[in-house]
Amino acid sequence: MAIYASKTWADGKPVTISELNAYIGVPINALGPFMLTGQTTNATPLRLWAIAVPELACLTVNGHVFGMRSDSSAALIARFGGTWRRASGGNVILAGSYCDVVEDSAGAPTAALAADTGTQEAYLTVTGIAAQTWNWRVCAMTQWL
Amino acid sequence: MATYATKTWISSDVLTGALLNTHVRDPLDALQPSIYTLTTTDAANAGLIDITVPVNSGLLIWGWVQAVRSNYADGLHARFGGMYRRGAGSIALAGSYCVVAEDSASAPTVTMTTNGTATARVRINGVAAQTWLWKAVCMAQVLT
Repeated sequence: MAIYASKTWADGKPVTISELNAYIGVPINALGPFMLTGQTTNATPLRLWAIAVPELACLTVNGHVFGMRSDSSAALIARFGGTWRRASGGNVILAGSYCDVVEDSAGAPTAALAADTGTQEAYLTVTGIAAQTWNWRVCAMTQWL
Repeated sequence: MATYATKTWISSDVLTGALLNTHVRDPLDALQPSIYTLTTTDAANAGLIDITVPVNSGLLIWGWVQAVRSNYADGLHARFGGMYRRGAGSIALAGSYCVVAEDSASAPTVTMTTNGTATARVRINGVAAQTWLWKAVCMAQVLT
């Protein structure tokens, strides 16, 4: 069986997290790439995307996240992929993942995948640097089982 | 401008070998991701992705694999990429990577390999006496 995405998003228009969840809820569109943006001004982790995982579902997200300090003096790229699963009556669990980060700042900006058992969401966080403004963008693809 | 795939398959479509090979030979179409699904009930070798490579050709594929036990109690994530080549003889895997992460108590896995003289294969192995659902997303390019 083969399924391909057919949805087109306007160029340069980031989707919101709610739009993202509505979009990927359609199986035929589940392969469609999505893009989200964000900004940090400190070293507090920012949840750049979050996807609700229902019971008896398995979600995989693969993509890249890019970050750049507002004065363009430092940047980050990370490639990531993860599979989350949730059994009947259970919590969302990150079954397997990778997140390879490369950056050239004097600090330690980073990105990470995780599962939130409170909201039952799969998510990715980016962490900037204290007293610095960083702009972030993630481009990724989803699939469900 | 952002361009996404415009080809739509319906869920009842069966991806035949001929259809797949037509698909991956269209230079633009081949960049669109295609999905492969399979169910395993044991630990035997199974071909999740099989692509025929003609003589005097190369095949580059990359993508990822998602798998989950049928009760969603265990899961797997894998990323893979590899270059196959075939001269006048049999196919060979010139170079590849396949990184698997999973949280089961067994050893479900994904391997890049070949099958027969002409088939590039992404092989999976499930777990004995367990039903696992598998899905792969794969991009491909053919070099001739």
